[in-house]
Amino acid sequence: MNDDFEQHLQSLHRRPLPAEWKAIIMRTARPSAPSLRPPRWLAWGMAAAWCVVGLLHVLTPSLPSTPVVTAPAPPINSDAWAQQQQLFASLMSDNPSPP
Amino acid sequence: MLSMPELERLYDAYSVGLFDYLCTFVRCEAAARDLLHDLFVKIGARGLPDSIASEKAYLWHLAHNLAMDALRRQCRHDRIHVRISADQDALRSFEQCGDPDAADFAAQVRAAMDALPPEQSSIAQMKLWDGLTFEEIAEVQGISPNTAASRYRYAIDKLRGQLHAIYEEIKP
Repeated sequence: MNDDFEQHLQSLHRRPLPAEWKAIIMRTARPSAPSLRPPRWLAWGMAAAWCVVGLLHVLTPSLPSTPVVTAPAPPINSDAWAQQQQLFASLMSDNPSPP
Repeated sequence: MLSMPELERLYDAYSVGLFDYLCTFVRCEAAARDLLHDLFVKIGARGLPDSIASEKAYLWHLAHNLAMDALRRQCRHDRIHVRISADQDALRSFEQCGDPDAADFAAQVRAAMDALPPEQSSIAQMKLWDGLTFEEIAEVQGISPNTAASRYRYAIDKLRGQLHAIYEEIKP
């Protein structure tokens, strides 16, 4: 409950600020253009989702790896290789050179 | 996003009170003007949150934080303005009316307010001239509503004591 003294104080009016202050402040305080950054809640949501993905990746046991069956490379037989080379050389020497 | 007319509305409605509040703490009109500028730049950039219950309490809370940061900086640089000098006090006086007794009373109210501790004078001005409730004041300064109310009562009692003589002369 306000008494007379308080009401008397309340009846005083403060001086307005200089008009040029408003012009200066409004010029620099102009609301900025909408930012391209995502809203904060969205950024936090995405961060949380990535954390969950990472956690699941770490905690999930990996599947047993199936060995890739590949045909064993044929053993290199140096004798067979030498015979092949000799055969090739003889064939080349027997063939007449093309005109 | 806050529109320009909305920002102007906030300025027109609250700038005088916010400036007075900032002056109470930083004790320098030039510093208070800079902080008022910073405050509206902040609001222009961020807008008002949707979740706030009272825009008035939100704005005064921002002003309070800015004033506290400025005081910390002043302490760091050892540049505390202890009192407002007479020539810096021009903007914070009350509007003059024709009656010289009323003008004298207004001047003495301002002097008595400046003599109060900032935690009391800031609450008195929020309550008397800016119309904040004790709940809103509590939110602004991070205190309980009971503390706000008791500080207000201390301030009013001190003002009453100091202004008793002149008030007796002019009271209706």
